[in-house]
Amino acid sequence: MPETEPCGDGLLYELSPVLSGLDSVLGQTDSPRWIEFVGEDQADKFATVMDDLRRRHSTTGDGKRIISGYSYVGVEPTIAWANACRDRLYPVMKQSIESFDRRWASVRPSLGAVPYHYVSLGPGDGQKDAVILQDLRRDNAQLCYVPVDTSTEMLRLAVRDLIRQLKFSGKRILSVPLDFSAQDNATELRRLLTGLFGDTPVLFSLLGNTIANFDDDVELLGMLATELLRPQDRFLLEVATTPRLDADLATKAAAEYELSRSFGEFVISALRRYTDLHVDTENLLHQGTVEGDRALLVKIIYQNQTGEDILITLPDRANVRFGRDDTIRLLITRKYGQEGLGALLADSGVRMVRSTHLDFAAAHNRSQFGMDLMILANQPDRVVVPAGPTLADDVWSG
Amino acid sequence: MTRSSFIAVATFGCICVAWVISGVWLFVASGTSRFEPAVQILGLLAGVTGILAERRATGQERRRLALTSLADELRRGAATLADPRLAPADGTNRRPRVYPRLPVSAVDAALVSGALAEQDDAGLLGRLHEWRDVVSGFNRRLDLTEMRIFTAGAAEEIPDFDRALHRSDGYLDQIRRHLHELQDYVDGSHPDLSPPGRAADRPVAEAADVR
Repeated sequence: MPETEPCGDGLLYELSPVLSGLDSVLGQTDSPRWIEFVGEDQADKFATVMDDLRRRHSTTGDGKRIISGYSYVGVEPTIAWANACRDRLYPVMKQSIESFDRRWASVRPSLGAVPYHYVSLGPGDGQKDAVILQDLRRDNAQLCYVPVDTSTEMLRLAVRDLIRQLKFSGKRILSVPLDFSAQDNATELRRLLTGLFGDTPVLFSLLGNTIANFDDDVELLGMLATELLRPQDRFLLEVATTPRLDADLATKAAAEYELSRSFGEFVISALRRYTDLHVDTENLLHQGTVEGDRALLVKIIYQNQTGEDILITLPDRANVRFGRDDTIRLLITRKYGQEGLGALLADSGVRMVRSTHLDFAAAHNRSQFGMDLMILANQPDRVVVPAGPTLADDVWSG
Repeated sequence: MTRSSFIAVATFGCICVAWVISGVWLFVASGTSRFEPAVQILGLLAGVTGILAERRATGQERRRLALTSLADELRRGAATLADPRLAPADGTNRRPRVYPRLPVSAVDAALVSGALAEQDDAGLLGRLHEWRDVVSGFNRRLDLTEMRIFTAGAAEEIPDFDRALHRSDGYLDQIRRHLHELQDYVDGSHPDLSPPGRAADRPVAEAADVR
C-alpha cells in the first residue's frame, strides 16, 4: 500500500519511496535540512554571463556588464552580501531590515486571515522572510516556504538561518534555484506552485528594492504579475523612493552606496568570480543620474583606469580585451519618485492594495530617501493576453 | 435481378404453378380422387405461410437482440462517462491515469448485421453512425493523451490535459449530451427496452454534466 501524505486541502497523494523517505528523514533530523528543486541548465546561465562580459567598449557602463542575479552566484559574493547586510556603515540596508517588522505589521491586515503559502523571489539573507513566515504561520499551520533565487548559495544562506531561528520544519521548505526574471522560468514556477498548492493563495515577495536592479523593471514586474499572480494571490513589493528627481539627489543616491566598504566588496566580488582582473576598488565608480521623470538611477561600474588595454581571461578560458577607459557595469539600482512608482505599477498591470512608507530622513537625518512596502494584486479589469493553445487543447479541440 | 431474387421468384413461381395445376385437378376430378389435389393445395398453402412467418419471426428476434445489446451498451457508456477516472483531477492528486474507453461493439454489430432493416429504423441507423464516429474520436483522443503523458514523460502536462478535457462545453460535455440524446431516442422508439433502472441512471449522468 503506498504511503500517503495529507496536503493543504486535506487531499491525499501518493509518495514515491524517495519522497516518503525524505519526509521521514527531515522529520527526524535536528540539523537544518530541506529540499531543493533543481532543474535549470547551469550552462545557459554561465553562457549568459560570458556573453555579457564580451559586449562592446563603453566608457559609460552601457557595454560589458554582470546583470542582477548573477552578481550573487558563488560563495564569495554570498558571504560579501551577508556582510553588507550587517554593515553599520551602510545604514540604509540596516534600517530597511530592522524596520521591516513594523512596516510588515502595517500592511499585513490587508491580507486578512486567509491561509497563504509564501514564495520569496530573491530572499536575500532571509531576515525579512523570517518576519513574514512567523506571522503567516499563525493563520496557516500548513504554511510552506518557497525561496527562489538564481544563486544556490544565497538560498542556502537564507534558509539555513531561518530554520534555526524559527524552528521551521525543513519538510515545509522547497528552495528553487531559478532565474525568475526569465519568462519561461516564471511559467515553470507557476506550474510547480499549482502542482504543490492547488488553489490555495500564495503570497509572493520581491523585497530589498530588487526590482530596481533590472534594466527593464516594468517589463519584469508585468511579466511576474502575468505569469504568477492569480486573483487570490498577493505580491509584496519593496522599493526605494526619493522625494524629488534632481541631479543633486542623484549624486547623493550614488554616494549612499559609496559609504559602505562591505557593499563595495560585495559588488566587486562578482568581478573577482568571473574574471582574473586584479581588482582595484579605486576603479569602482558610482554614477547617479535622473532617469526621465520616474527615478534616480545609480550605476556602479568598474572602469579600466590603468591607461592601457588589459587582457581578461574569463572562466571559459576565452580572452577578452578590456580596453583603456572601458567599463563593466556591476550593478544598477533606482530610487523611484512617486509618479515613477505609480507608473511602474500601472504599466505592470497591478494595483496597490495597501502600502506603508518609511522615511530615512526621519530616522537618520542625513538623507531624504525612503522605502515603500506595498501589497499588490492583479488588476481585476486587467486585459490578460491569453496564452496560446497547448498541446492538450489541440488534442481535445472540437 | 440478383441471384437471391431469382431463386425467390423461381421458388414462388413453381409453388404458384403447382397451386394452379392442383386447382384445375380439383375442378376436373370427381369422387374420392378429389382428396389428393385438395391435400396438395392445403399443403402448399401451409408451406408458404410457414416460410414467411418463420422469416419474419427470425428478423424480429435479431432486431430485438440488436436493440437490447445497443441499449445495454449505451447504459455502460453512461456509466463510463461517470467513472471517477474521467472526473476532473482535484488539488495535488494529478497522477498519470489510464482512462476508461467508451464501448462501441454493439453499435458496430447492429450496423453490420442488417438487423435494423425496417423502414422505421432509418433515423436510428443515421444516429448510430454519428455516435460511432464521435466515440471513435473520443477514444482516439484518450489514446493520444495517455501516450503523451506516459511515453513522452510529460506528467507536468496533466493539468493542461485535465483542463482541456473538462472545459465547459468541451469534448466530454458534448459526448455526454450526444449519449443522452441517443438514449432518449432509443427509449422513445422502443420503450419495452428501457429497464427499470434506466430512470435512476439519468441523475448520475446529468450530475456529471454540470460538474
